[in-house]
This record gives sequence, C-alpha cells and structure tokens, in this order.
Amino acid sequence: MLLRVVPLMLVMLIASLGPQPAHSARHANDYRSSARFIFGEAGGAAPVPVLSGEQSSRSRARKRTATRRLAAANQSQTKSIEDILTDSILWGPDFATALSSVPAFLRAGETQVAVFPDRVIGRKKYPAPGQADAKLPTLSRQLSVTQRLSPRSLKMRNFMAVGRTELKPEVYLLPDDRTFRLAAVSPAARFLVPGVNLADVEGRLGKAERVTTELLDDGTERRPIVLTLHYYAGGAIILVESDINPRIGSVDRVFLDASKISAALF
Amino acid sequence: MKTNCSAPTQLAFVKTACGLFLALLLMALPLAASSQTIRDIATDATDPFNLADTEPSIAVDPSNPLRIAIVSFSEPWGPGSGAPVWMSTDGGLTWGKVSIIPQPGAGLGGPGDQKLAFDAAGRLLIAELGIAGSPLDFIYRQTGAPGTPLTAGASYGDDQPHLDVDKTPGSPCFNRVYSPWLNTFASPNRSNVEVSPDFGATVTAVIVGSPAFNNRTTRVGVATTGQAYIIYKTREGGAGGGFENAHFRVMRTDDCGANWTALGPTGVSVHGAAAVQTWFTTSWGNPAKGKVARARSSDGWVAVDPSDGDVYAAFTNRDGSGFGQIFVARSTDQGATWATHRVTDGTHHSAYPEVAVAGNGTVGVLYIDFDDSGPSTIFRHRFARSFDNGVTWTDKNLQSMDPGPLSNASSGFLWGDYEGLTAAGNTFFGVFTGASIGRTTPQLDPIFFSATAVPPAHIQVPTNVVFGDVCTGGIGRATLNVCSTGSPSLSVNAIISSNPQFAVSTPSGGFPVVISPGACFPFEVTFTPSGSGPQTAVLTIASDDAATPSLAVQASAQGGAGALGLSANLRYVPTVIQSIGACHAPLPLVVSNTGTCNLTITNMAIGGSHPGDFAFAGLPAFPITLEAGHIAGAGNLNVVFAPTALARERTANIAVTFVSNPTTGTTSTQTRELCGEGVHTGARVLVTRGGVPVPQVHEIELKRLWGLFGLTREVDEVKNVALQTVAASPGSACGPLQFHHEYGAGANATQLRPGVYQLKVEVKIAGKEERKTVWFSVDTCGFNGTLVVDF
Repeated sequence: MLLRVVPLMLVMLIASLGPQPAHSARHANDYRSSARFIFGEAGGAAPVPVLSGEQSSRSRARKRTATRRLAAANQSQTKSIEDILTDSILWGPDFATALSSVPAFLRAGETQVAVFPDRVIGRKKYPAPGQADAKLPTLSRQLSVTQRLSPRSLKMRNFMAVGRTELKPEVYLLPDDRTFRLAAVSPAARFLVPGVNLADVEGRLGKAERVTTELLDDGTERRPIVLTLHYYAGGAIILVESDINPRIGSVDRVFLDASKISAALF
Repeated sequence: MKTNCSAPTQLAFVKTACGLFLALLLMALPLAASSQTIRDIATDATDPFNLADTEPSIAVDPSNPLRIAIVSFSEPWGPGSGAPVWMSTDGGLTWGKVSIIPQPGAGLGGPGDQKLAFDAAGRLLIAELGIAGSPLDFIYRQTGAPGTPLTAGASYGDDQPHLDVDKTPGSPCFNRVYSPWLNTFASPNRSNVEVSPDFGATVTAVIVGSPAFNNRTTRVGVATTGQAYIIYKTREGGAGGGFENAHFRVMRTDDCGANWTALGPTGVSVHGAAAVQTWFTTSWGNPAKGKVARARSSDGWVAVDPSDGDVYAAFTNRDGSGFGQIFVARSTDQGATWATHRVTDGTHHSAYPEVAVAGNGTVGVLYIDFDDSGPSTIFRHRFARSFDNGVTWTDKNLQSMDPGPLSNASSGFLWGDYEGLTAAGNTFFGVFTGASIGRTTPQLDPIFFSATAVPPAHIQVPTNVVFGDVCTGGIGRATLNVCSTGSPSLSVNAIISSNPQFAVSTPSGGFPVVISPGACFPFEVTFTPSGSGPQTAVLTIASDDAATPSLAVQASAQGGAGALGLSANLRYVPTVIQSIGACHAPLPLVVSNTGTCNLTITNMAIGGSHPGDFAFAGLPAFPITLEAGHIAGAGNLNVVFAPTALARERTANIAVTFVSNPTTGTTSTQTRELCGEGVHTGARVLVTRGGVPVPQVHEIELKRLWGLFGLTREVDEVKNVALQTVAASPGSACGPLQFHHEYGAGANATQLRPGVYQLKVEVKIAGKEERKTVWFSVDTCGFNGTLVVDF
C-alpha cells in the first residue's frame, strides 16, 4: 500500500535497493555504472492498475485541486523563509537534515540545491563524473561541519532539533538530464511529504510570486522532463512540479537558494 | 455505432469476419473525409490539468477504421495508475481517454517516448519508454478486452522506441512486430531493431545502422509482402545554423527482421552519395521572436505503399534555398535506388516530416514550418499530398500557431520530436500537438485531422468552342468536350453562357453530369445568331473540381445573313415610241445575294412617274430564294423600256423587297431609278472639233438617199446652229445631253423616215469653211443618238 502513495522518486530509490534485473547487466560497463548509482526495477510483477477506482479518485483529486487553487489565487504570498521552511505541510520528518546540508553545498560551490524525498543534490551540472568527483571531498568535509550548525532563531533551532539523519556524499547521475551532480543521500530519509499537492501548498503559503518552466533534456531522443517552478520567498524556495510525476500537481522536488537559506538560518 | 460486428463495449472490437462491413466502411471513409477534418481531441473534462500532450502518434484499427487510437504525453503512469490512450470509435468525431498503459515496472517513470499500432485483428500495440536510471523500452500488447489494461512485454533497448507490425495475413511475417530504437550508450550511438514474434512478450535485438557515425532517428515501415524497412541517419558533423551533415539510409529485412542487410550492411542512402544538411538544434524557430522547438530527431520517416510496395522516405535537407526543406525519396525497387523530389516550396524552414501512403498510392506528408517575418514566430502544421508518386505536391496549412501565449508550451519542446500520420484505405489520419480549439484555457492539445487520399476531380477542356458561319435564322451546333483528368469522377453541375445567342443543351440526363476519370463528355452548344457579324461568349462550367470550381471557356461564331446586291440605276438609250415596230430597249437588272446565307426576295415592283413605260422580263416568281452568290433570274432578268410618249425624260423606279432579318422575318426594300428618252425615229447630231463640241455649226444639211443611183433629196438644212445642252433632272437616272441638232426628239420632233441619210456639216475654222459628210441609216425603231461629226 505504501508503494501506491509515495512519490515516484522514492519508489525509484527503494527499487534501486532491490535485485537488479538482467537487462541492467547489459550495460554494466557503460557510464551509468560509473555514476555509482543505478536505478532498476523492483522484483515481481508490475502493479495492476484498478482503473475505475483510480479514475474516480483522480476525478475527486482534480476537483479538490481546482477548488484549492481558486481559493489560493486571491491570497498574496507573505510567508518568510523561516515560516515556509517550518511548515509541516511540505517537509518530511527528516527535512532538518537536508536543511543543515545547504551551507555545505554552498561551500562546495553550489548556489542552489534540489531537495528530493531522499537526497539533496546540487544544481550545478557536471558533464563528466570526474569534475564532480573533484568537489566531493569538499562537500563531504563541509557536511560533517554543517550538521553541527545551530540556527539563529529559536523556532528554527526547535524545528531542526529533530529528524536528523546521516547524509552520504556522492556523485549522482541525474537521470533527468544525464548530468553529474554533487549529492547528499540518505536512502531511508523522507525530506519531503510524499505527494503534497501544490494546491494545498498555495492554500497555506499563498500564490507563488512567479511561475516558470525548465526543461531537462538529456540530449538523447527521449522526451525531456518539464519542470514547473513556483517561486516563494524571493526565489529562496522554489517548489517544483515534474511532468512525469504520476501525481500531477504535486511537489516533485524543491529548489533552495543555498546562499539565501544559509544566510537566513545560520 | 451498432452492428453485428460490434462488441457491446464502446471500444468495439470488430471481427475480421465482417469483411463486407469493412469494405463498406473503407468505401465510405473517403466520402466522409472528403473535406479535411480538424478536431481538438482534448476537452476541459478529459484534460483537466491542461497537459501539453506532446509527441503524439496515431493508429487506425485495420479491422475497423472507425476505431482510432492516439497517444501523447498526457498523464504519466504511476504505481497503480495507467497512462492514457485517446480513443475514438466513430472515425475521430468524438474522443475519450482510457488509462490502459500501466507502469511497466516499479521505479520507471513515463511514458518517455511512445508509438502505437494496431495489428490486423485490431489489437493495440504500444512501444513505451520508461525512465529510471536509464531508459527501458517495452512493447505493450492487448491481452484482454479492448479498453482494459495492456500488458507490458519484455524490456529492451534504450532511446525512442518506435513500432510497427506486419498486418498482412498473407505475409510470411504476419504479426511480426518491429521496434527500432537507438542505443545511446553505444559509441557511436547505434540504431537497433527489436523483433518480436509474440507482440512484444519476447524480443530479440538486432543491431542495425552504421558503426561509422552516431546514428539517430530510426523509423520503421512494413510492406504488405513481408519486407520491412527502417530509415536512420548517420550524423556526420555540424554544418552550422542548426544543421548537421548527414546521410539518411534505408535498410531492409527479407527474413522477418532477423537480418536487415538486404540493401547492404548499412543500407542505401536515399539521396545519393553526397551528404545532406539536416536539422540538429534545440532552438528550431526564432529565439528572438518567441518559443522554439528542438529538432534533433525530427527529420526522417519511412512508409511503404500498400498497393505496389514502393518505398517512400521523407527527410529534411537545407538546399539551395537556404532553408531546411522537406524531401521525399521514392524507391520502386525495394530500396535499391531512389528518386527524390522536394515537398516544400523553398520559402520557409521546414522540419518534422512524417510520411504515409494510402491504399490508392497517394502519398501524404505531415510537417511543420515557421514564419518569423512578423513580431512573433508562427509555427504552421501543414499536410502535403502527392497524387503522382511523390513528384508533385499540393499543400494545405492545417493550423497556424503562436505558442507564446500558451502556458503549457515549453520552449525547447513544443510538440516533440515527431507527430502522427497514418493511412487507412484512401484516407489519411493524423495528429499533431497544436493550439487548442474551444478550450477554456488556451494551450497545446492533440489535434486530430483526417484528409482524403483521393485526388481531387480535375476538369479539362481541350479546346474552345468555335462555330463556323451560322446564318441568321438558323442554329449552329458545336461540341464542348469536358474531360475528367483526375482520379475520381468529375461532376459538372451547370454550364452558363454569357451570351444568349450561345446555349449549352441540357443533356438528356440533366445536370449534374458525372464524367468518369479519363473520359470526356460532349456537351452540345448551339449558336442562334441574331444578326450577322462575329459573336463571342464565355461558357462557365461549374464542377466539383476543387481547384477550378468554375472554368471559363471561350466560344466564338460568325453570324451570317444574305445581302442584296442590286444593279445601279438604269439609263436607257433613246428609244423610239412604238409605231410601226415594237420598239423597246432592255437592260439587265442584276439582283444578287452578296451575303453568306440565303436571301429571300419577296417582291420587285416598278413605280415612279411613268411605270407603264417599263416592264420586267425574265422575272421569276416570288418569293425568290437566292443562295449566296446567286443572281435572280439566272442572269435573264431585264427591265425593258418601251416609251409611250415623246419626252426627254421618262422615269420610273424599281423597288426590290427582301427579308433582311430571317429570324424576325423583317423585310427591307431597296430602289433603283430608271430613265429613258422617248423619241421618234431620227438622229441627234453633235459636232466636235478635236473631240470638243464646237459652240456653233455653220450649216447642217440632211439629205435622204432614194432610188438606186445615189440620188438624194434634201430633208433639212439649218445654219448657224448653236450647241445645246440639256441638264438631267436631279435625283433621276437620267443624264445630261449635248447636241447641235436632232431629228425625232424633244428639240425637233420631226421624225426621219426609215432609210439612208447623208449628213453634211459645215463649220468655220479660222475663218475658213470646212465640210464633212457622213451617212447613217434609220430603221423602223432607229434613232441614232450619237451621231458625232468630228473635225
């Protein structure tokens, strides 16, 4: 049942821990293996969709989404960085760990990080793994330092006092665009609330200051991934939808401005 | 639609046993699609999230062409939820969405790339790309009833899987599924074809393409004879401006996909040895004027003519026009050799060609061009058709679109790498990602279209209509041949004449007149002249030739009529009044037809002052019909003068009445004047010197000879005779007279008895008298009016 409610990336991560199917071995020597992280299928048969139930539930979700977006449309966005970062609607129980890694990424040369359910990755794209490898020691060192940082405000100190988990630095091949990224991974972590709906977020945070789109094109013939970026707190926090996320309208990832977040919190 | 062939579900599965029904459907489809249909298949209800619906593809169920399926990047699949297929069961009029593409495996996002087809029995097949750490492809097959979730087959491949299936029951490779894809992890990137004998449950990879360069854009087409073809390009280095050098090569398998080397190890270049410059850009369009698209795998397609096995390859090439253009190459020998023609007109950048061939051999190409001459870039989805095996093309704009205001149009990926085009029977079916129609939120949507593959009726009129001379009152007839040079029959609905003298006879069957392809129909055109002279008309032919619904044909004729030719006025010599002899003077009267048609003379009469002195001789009975060039009375018509009184002028006139307008029967009359002089027997003397009348004659002496020995007796002697001049009455046929003396006429009525006379004339020349003597005779009707004595 859990698999049916967690977001796509979490499922992918969990699946990666399972046995690798035979087809993956065909590319054992290609550059995916050098990325140190290989996605694969979970064993067993694919889940059989229950169409009538799914369609019915989708229909209800669409109505909810439309109602909430309408309600949020008239609200102005006035929340501070601190307010947003401590809003429980968005963040999973381990988000404090992700937040504490932001200064480390900043010191490793990243100006913006992307928070996924189980990992934090830098937004800087490295075409070759070696270039990212060179930055990895810095990130590793800074992670151990920044995990001990204490936020200036009591509210943030309380928020970050819980849910700490260990992060493992690595170079990560982002499948979205086949670029290499600095990453801090905690496979069991839940940095984001799975499937949180943008309409719900807007209901609490107000309408985004602006919305843009971003294409992640891996250079092949494959369909690019279209990200829709919702800007809050002057762009310090960007809630991101992905067009391949099966939960349409949900937060797929969050971009954090490393500099603004670090400055605001620590 | 309810038939005995339909299952009770909305997505009816039509059994192959319903051959008659299908035949009727296929016959009806071109009629239904005779005009182009364009329809937004998404609605606010079926697309509530306003998704972009990019990179669509389309398939038509060969067992029921009313059943059409489309996939586009609509909702993703997920754990427990399927990605959708757009379905229509009424030939594209209405569309629904069924989520029947389940997630192929845990952790796989998607659909990534997709392509669908129906097998011969109407079972749906879809190639799908799932995205995880790297792409994985699957062929979905229908294992349950239509509308229930499909079943994913074995995983294979990498990038951009395509799909087709052998649908021909008699083919040695019937039901064989081919799925080309690109191995982006190979160096260089390499085209592959996955071959499956069981609709994707199991697959076998065959490496194809060329190892010399990176491969890309691998597409597949299947012949009805069992051969299958792929097209792919070899990327051979950048050419600047968003182009790269490339060869488009076609490979063929003759053994159901086991080997693809029937045309050599890397296939045959469809455009010859020289490389072309094809698109490779992420900014197709004008970045300074709006959103752009990526065009990297948007330049090749292959299809096979189901009627004769000819192979068609569409590709792009920057030619001498400087624009990236759409070309189509045709092979009539299973891919060994190719002939290439340009589809586009060299005025705009064009890309994204998809080619399909209809059952009648008509070739269709769906493509996109853009116009950036205005403030924003306008992208146009266009559909070109060729009715002559790809040599010439007619082109229609399906939709013009500015993606700028469309919020779900992502610059860099506006519609995808390719779109959808297929053919069923003699109808093309396509789908493209275009501007929504009738949606609350303007956006990108999948736009379905259909277009007939039947070439439009074409009218031809070999020659204008030319009549010869047509006589007024008669009817000229000529033939207007109207020919049908198109493939379907031509329907002529009416023919209108601009000139009432010309008319097209309504055929016995009435209008419209249906003319079979290659045949001509001889319409009868009549010309009824209202008068003489040249006449023209424009005959306007209304037909169902879409290109020339109204054709103007020139008709010309010469209206003819008879024309009266009539002698000039008649002037008679002085004629003796009947006494002893029957004296009279005839003059021929020429009444002729100088026109081109018959002339009818209804009457000829003598009138005027002295009609009794004149009479016709040789006059035919009325009415006299004269053919062109003929003369009344055959030359024997005369007017005879027989004066009844002594007079210098005895006048009359002739009135000739003829039909001047045969159509109306209107008549006209022409007259001629007659003039004669009534005299007694005698003579008229004129004395001249050097041909010039002398003013006065000293003496004129006339003697009559009698007896046998030259004895004479003086009849008359006059001295100092002055020259007399008599003027003619104006308007008469009479002429002036000059004489010095006369006998038996107006100035001297004394007649001369018949006999021989000696006339002695004496004149003074330079004070000296000179004489001349002449002799003349007078008979019973004699009057010598021209007795001239010259000195």
